[in-house]
Parts: sequence; C-alpha cells; structure tokens
Amino acid sequence: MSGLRVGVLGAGGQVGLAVLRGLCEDGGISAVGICRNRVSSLRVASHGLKVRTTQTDDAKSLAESTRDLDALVNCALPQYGPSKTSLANRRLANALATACAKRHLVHLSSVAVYGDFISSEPTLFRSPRPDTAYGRQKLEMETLLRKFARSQRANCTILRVGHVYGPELRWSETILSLINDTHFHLPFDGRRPSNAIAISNLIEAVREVLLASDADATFNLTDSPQTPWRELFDMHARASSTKFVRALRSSDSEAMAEQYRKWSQTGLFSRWVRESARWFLQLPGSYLTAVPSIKAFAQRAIATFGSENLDARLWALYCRHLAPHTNPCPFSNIHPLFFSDAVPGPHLEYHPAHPAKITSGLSDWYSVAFTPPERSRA
Amino acid sequence: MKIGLIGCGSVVESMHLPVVVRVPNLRILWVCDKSSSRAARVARDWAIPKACSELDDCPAVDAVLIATPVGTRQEILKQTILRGWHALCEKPFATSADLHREFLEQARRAGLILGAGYMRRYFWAVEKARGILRSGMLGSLESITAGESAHLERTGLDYSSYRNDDRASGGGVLLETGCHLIDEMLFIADAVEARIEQCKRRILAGYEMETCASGRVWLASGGQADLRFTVSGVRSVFQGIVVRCQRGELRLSLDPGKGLKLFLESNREASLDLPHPKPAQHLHHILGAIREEWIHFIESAQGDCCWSAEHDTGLLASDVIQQCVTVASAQGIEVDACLA
Repeated sequence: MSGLRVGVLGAGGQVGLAVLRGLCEDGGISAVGICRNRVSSLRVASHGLKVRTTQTDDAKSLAESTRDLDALVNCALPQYGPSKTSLANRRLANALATACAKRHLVHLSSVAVYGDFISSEPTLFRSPRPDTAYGRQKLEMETLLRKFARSQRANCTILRVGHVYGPELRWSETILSLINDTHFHLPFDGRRPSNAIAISNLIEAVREVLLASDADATFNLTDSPQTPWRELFDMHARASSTKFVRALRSSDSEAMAEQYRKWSQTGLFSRWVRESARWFLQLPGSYLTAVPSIKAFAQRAIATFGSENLDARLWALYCRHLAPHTNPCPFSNIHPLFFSDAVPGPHLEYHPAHPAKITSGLSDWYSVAFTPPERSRA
Repeated sequence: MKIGLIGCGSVVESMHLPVVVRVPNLRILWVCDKSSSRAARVARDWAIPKACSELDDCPAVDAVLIATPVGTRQEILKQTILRGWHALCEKPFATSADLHREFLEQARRAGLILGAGYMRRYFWAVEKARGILRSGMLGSLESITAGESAHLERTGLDYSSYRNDDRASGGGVLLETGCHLIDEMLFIADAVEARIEQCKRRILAGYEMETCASGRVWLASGGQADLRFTVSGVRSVFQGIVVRCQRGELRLSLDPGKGLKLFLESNREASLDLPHPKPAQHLHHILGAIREEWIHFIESAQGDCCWSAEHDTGLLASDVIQQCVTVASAQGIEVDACLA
C-alpha cells in the first residue's frame, strides 16, 4: 500500500517527533504531525515537518482535521493529576476512536502496564498489574480505546512499547546519568533482557504495522532480539567515552530480584500492612533519638530512679540504635526494572534497523548536549 | 505581614502556596484570578479568607505576589503600586528593559519594594559557584557559557494556555525559559553591566524559538569576561553553565539537586565533584529556593535586609534580553518561518 497518509498525534513529544520524522523519511508514507497547542506545533514545524493544530480530545475537531488521512498513530498521553487525567484519557480515547472509524489506529502504550518489576508469568499479558500512575494511565487508555474502537469499528493496534532509547530520549539520558553515578551497579551484570527498544526500531515497527497490517490486536514491542542491559549500558558508555558501569554482586542481585518479585505478587493492601507494621516497630527508637524533650525527660527519670546497671544497659541500647545498620545490600535504590524478566505475551515481529543505525547519533547527541562548547566565541 | 496572591495558575498552587503557608508571620488574606471559580477553589483548598476576580474588590494588604503572564502585568503592577502594595513578581519581570525601568521608577516614587521570582539564585550550586568565584581561588573570570533546551519537556499545555498567546507570554522561549538562565549567569559572575555583540534568533510564526548570543560582561570586581548562551525550544543544546577562570573551570548542572564540578587548569582531565550536601527530590530543592526568595522579599519589604531594585528584580537580565532582540534585528539574522 503506497501513498499512505498518516497522522501522528503527540508529535511535539520526544517519541512522537521521532516517529513523525522517521515516517516522513519513508517514501511510501506521507505523515503529518497533529498537536493540541501552538507551541508544540511550532516545534514540529521547525524541523520542516507538516503539522496541524487541533483540539485532539474533541471528537468532532479531531475527525474534521484528520478526515483526509488513512491512519493515525497515537503517541499522546494527557498527564495531569490522577482524576483529571482519567477524564482526559476518556475524551482522547473517544476522539481517537471516532476519528479512526473504519480506519486504522496504532496506539503506543507502554510496558509500564506490567508494573515496575516485570515478571514473565504468562497471565500478566492479559491481566497486567501496573503499580505506577503512568502504568495505570496507559492501561486505562488501552481499555478505553478497545471499547470505543469496537463501537466505531476502527482497527486498533496497541503496541506496548519498551523503554525507548536513542538520541534526545529520556531513557538515554537516564542511562548516561546512571553510568556517571558511582553508586549504581548493574544487577546480574546486565545479563537480563532490558525490554528496551531503539527509536529506529520503534519507527520501523510502526511503519510495518501501518503498511502491512490492520491487526486488531495487542503486542509487546522491544528490540528484536532483546538487548541485554549490559549491551545497552556499554553502547551508551562508548558513545560518551565514559567507563563501563560495574556489576552488582550476584548474591545481592539474586536477593533483590527475589524481594521485588515478591512485592510484585503482593497486593497493595498487604504491602501497606506489612510496610506500616515495619515502620511502627521502628518508632520507639527513632522517637528517643529524634525528640530532645523525650530524651531529656528520660535522662532526668534515670538520674532520679535509675541505677548504674540501668545506665549501662540503656547506653548500650542507645549506641546500638545509633550504629550504622548492616544492610545486606547497600544498593537498595536500584530500580526494579533492572531485575525484571522479559515481558510476557506476543511480541510484534518486524525487521529491526541495522545496529549501526541504532548507535549512530548517540555520540553526536552526547557531544552536543553534554559537552561544554569550546572556548572560542560564537 | 498580610499578603494577597494575584493569579491562581499552577505555579501559584504547586510552588508558592505550599511555601507561603509555612512562612512565619505571613498571612494570606485573598487570592485574585480572572476566573472567579478558580479563585474560589484555590481559596477553599488553602483556607484563604477571600477570593476575588477583580483587583478593585481586594482588601488592603502589605504585599502581593503577581503571578499572571508577563504580558498582562503592566496594568496590574500599576494598580498595586497605586494601592501601596509591595510586589513580588513571577519571572520574567517585564517584557522589556524599558518597561522594567518604568516599573522600578513607579515603585521608587511610591516608596515600595519590588522583587522578581528568579529563584535559581538560591540553588545550592549557584550560591557555591558565586562564592568560589568571589574567593578568587580560581583567579579572574574569563568567560561564562550556558545553554538550556526546552524542547524535550512535555508541554502539558492545552489551548487555553497563555503560552499560545504571543502577547501574554512575552513572545517566546528566551523570555519564558531564557530569563532564568541569563539571570543565573549574571548572578554567578556578579555582573554589573552586559553588552550583547552578536545574536541570532529563530522565529517561527512570530514566536521566538531559539536564541544564540554572545557578548561581554563587566564585573563588580572590575574585570570583564566573555558571555555566551543558547536557549532553544527546538533542539538539543549543551545544558548547563560553564564558568572559565584563569586557573580552572566550574561546571554547573541546571538540576537544582546536582552539585558542581571543579576542573583545575593544571590538569583539565582531573576534576573534583562538589556534590549537593542534601540530596533530595528535584521539587524539594525548587520549593526550598522559593522559600528563600520569599524570605528575602519579606525582609526587604520590612527593611530588615539589604535590597537593590535593579539587582533584586534582575534588571540586567531584562537588559540582555532586550539587547538580544535589538542586535538580532539590526544584524538582520533573525530567521522567520511560517507553519507549513
């Protein structure tokens, strides 16, 4: 199918802009950005790309401004406070389904729907358990789109996109920042699958879905084959000429993975009860050291009624409380996703971009965005 | 001290109110917003006695926060000065240096204090860098270079946002994002005067999206240094501030939670990290800086601390911005384009 006309919603965002640029480079597709405000539209236009400004969450306006298009790719996600976002999701889903009646809609969801720690248990694909606001919003949007798309007879392909990396992308910024963080160590020496996807692979996959498929289905979308964390970190380290990140001890990796796995299988209420109980049990010791008046009162009481034996015992107790805790793992702030399994369920099959294409651009971006300009004046 | 809040946008609700309600001896008497329902909601949520939609209906206070878009500020500031209220204005203070001076003159005649919301001055790394420069340990300042990209931020804007309106927003990225960066550079360098020699602006459909400028600054210590900055809403540029001195270099991140990096001239490869002493969430540092800004403003209004109208409202930053516009137009290197 050549000459396909495609609209990209959320083209002012980091992924949306890259998708729009990528699709425009393809001779077989004529792509246009669709933004909801003038500032975003100007950003898109500054790259020499076509863009339209319309009220994206209004069914009538969106349908009107996309009437001449064959398909829409949704990269937008309204993000406000939880209650307003829910309403905004509903409006956007309705508008998208209406605008795509009897047409093709490709919606970019996220692997965040599976939670911070992704377990490979097969049932998770059909019944995801998001544990972040972002993941819940993405899942809510999927559910709404499925419902509205059915009633409008729109073909809706939902792609649960992995962590997108590449030049100018947040995930690459995060990786570069972790590489320079001396406290960060890579669990399992980075052997676990990253569930990440290069932006060039994402563009390729979206292009293939648009051209070859009207599949009314949901897929995971990651690098194919999966890129392990080590490869991903080393790729960024090479691009920034930084040293490679160190590995976390395997015993610590195993222990933390097990802890995160248990958490991911425990309901929110149970976790709340357990964590509150743990907090409550720690209270008396914290009070004694944190509240000067309690400490002063206790000292007076001991001076009046105590004995040398009691003095010694209390002093020992106090010192024990102040002594640094022996933490079985000093790296407890490492995010659960570095311990995760591969995402469960069907993956979208596509022809991945050439590895050279994936890495090209990272070094250029690093030299522009992270290296101070030379001394010469502009 | 009794205060009123003019404008009830998200910055007031998420940044100023959480801070102001915890500042001792400060009492909020009213909030005022052109949307009466919004004003009423904010008043209810923050237990503020009165909500108004017109400034004329607001009872007398000692000081106000003006947090309306910069393009709407002229009339509001005129009224607050007439009513004898000190005013802390959100950044940018004015759309031009001429207007900035006009506001200062009006306030001076009325014997009032004006402040501007340049809260980045209170970031730990900025204060530390200024301190290191003043100590002279790195020798004299040779150049200060900075950059900031705003293009990767989620706009989060719908159609009603003032940023879609050229007049209300002041015309583009330099005023909206760049004023903070420019003020930060001038504050660190302790500059007293600046001259922009070259400037290139990229303007799309009347909205300024990128400015790249260079020139010189004159320092309070008596020396001069090169100044160079790029602010872009459309592409990646170097993010941060680099302060180059005779005997070394300081690098600052724009992240308030990050510290400084110190390079010594003798060995550029070796660097020393000066980490932020209190690691915390990004928002925590921002709110801390806003609290410092408020305390400085209140103490200035009460005559308890040293205050300079020009310095405390960032007149030099307004001046640099105005020079950028003038120089870019004079050199004929403004690039204008229309939407496809």
